[in-house]
Amino acid sequence: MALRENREFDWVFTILCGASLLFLLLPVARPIQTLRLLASYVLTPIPLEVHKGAEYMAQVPRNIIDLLETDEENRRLRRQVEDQRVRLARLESLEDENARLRDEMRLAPPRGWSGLWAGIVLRDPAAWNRWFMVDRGSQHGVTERHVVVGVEGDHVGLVGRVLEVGPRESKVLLLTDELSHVTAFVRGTRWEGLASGTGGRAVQVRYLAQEAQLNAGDEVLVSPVSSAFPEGLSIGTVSSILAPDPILTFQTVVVAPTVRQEQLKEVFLMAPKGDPS
Amino acid sequence: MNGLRLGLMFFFGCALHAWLAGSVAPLVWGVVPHVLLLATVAVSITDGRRAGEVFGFLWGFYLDVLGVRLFGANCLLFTAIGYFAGNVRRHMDVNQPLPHATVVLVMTVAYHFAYAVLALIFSKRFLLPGWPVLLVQPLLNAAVAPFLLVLSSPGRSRRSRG
Repeated sequence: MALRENREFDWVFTILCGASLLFLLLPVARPIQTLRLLASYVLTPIPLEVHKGAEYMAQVPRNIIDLLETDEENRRLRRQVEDQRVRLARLESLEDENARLRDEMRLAPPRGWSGLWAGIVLRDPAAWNRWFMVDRGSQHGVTERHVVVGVEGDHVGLVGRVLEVGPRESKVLLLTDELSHVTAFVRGTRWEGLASGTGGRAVQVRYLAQEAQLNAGDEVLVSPVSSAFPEGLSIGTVSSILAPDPILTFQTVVVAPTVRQEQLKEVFLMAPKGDPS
Repeated sequence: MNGLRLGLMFFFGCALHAWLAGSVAPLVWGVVPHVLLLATVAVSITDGRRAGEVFGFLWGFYLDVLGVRLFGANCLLFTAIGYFAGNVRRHMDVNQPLPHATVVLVMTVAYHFAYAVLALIFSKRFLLPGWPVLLVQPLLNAAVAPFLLVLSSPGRSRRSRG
C-alpha cells in the first residue's frame, strides 16, 4: 500500500499545497478571511479552555492541601464546640444555682420591680463617684428613665439612674454625683429632705426641718413623693449631722450610701413605673 | 483510521500544543518541543504519507489561525513535513529511535529556516524564532520524538517489529 501510495500522483499533497499557497498569496481575500474567521471561532477556544484547564489542574494540589487543612481545622473546631457545649451546660447549671442562691439570700429584686441586670464595663477614674458604664442599652430595652439599684450583701440600695443610652451600652449617673437629687425621708419619721450627691463617697440630705430629731444610723429612704425613683428604696444611713446654721431654717445630714458603688460588678436596671420591661 | 480517531488526534494535538505553549513555555524560556511537528512526523510514519499530509495541513492551519502573520505558511510547511516524512520511511527504518530522532531533528531545523524564507518572500522579513529555540528545540524534538512515536501508535510499532 505504501508502495502504491508513493507511485501514485499525490493529488492530496498538490491540493493542500495549492490551498496553502493560496492562503499565503491572498491573505486578505474575502473568502479566505471568512474561512479564517470561521476557523477562529472553532479553534480559538481550544487554547483558552486548555489554559483554564491547566490553571485548574495547577490549583488541584493547593486545593487538596486546603481541603486537608480545612478538614483538620474542622475537626479541631468540632472538638472546641464539644468543649463549649460542656462549658455551657456547666454555666447554665451555675446560673441556676446563682438564681437559687440569690433567691435564698433575698438578693432578687423586690416583688413588683421589673428590669434587667447589667454588668459594669467601664469606670472613669477621674469621675469615680460620678458615673459608670454598663453593658446594656436600647437594644435591651434600657431607657433614660431606668433607675439603677445595687445589691451589696444583704442590702439593696439606690445607685443612680441611667443618664445616656447607647445601642448596647448605657451611662449611669451615680447618686453621689452633684447633679443627682432624690426626695428622701428618714425611716420612722415624717421628715423629708432632698438627697444630693457631693462628688465624693457620701450623700447629703438637706432641707430637713430644724426640729427633726435625727441620729446617726437612721436609714434614709426614697420618698413616696418622688416621681423618678421607687418609693421606699434605701439611699443610705445617716453618718453625721452637720451643725445647724443659725441663719438657715433647716438642717443637713451626711448619709453613707447603702450600697458602695465601687464594690459593685453588676447592677439592676429597674424599669420606670408603669413600664413592663 | 476512523473519523473519531482522526478527530480525537487532531484535537488532542491542538490541546497538547496549547498546553505546552501556554503553560509550560513561559517556565522554560519558550523552549518546549514542537508537539505538532512531532505529531505530523509520527502520523506520516505510522499512518502513511497522505495521513501525514492531511494532519500536517490541519495542524498547520490551526497554528496559522492562532498566529498573526503569514497565514498559510504553517499549512504549507506542515503539509510538506508530512510529505517528506512519509517518503523518507522508504529509505530508512524510521520506527527505530535513532533514525526517527534524526529525521525529526532535520525536519525541525528545516521547518524554522523554511518559515523564515517564506516570511522573507511574503512579508520581506527573515523571521527566525531566536537562537534559544533554533538551537535547543531541534535537539529537544529529537529527544522526545521516539517516545511520542511509541505513544501515538504502539500497535503499529509492534506490528512493524513483528
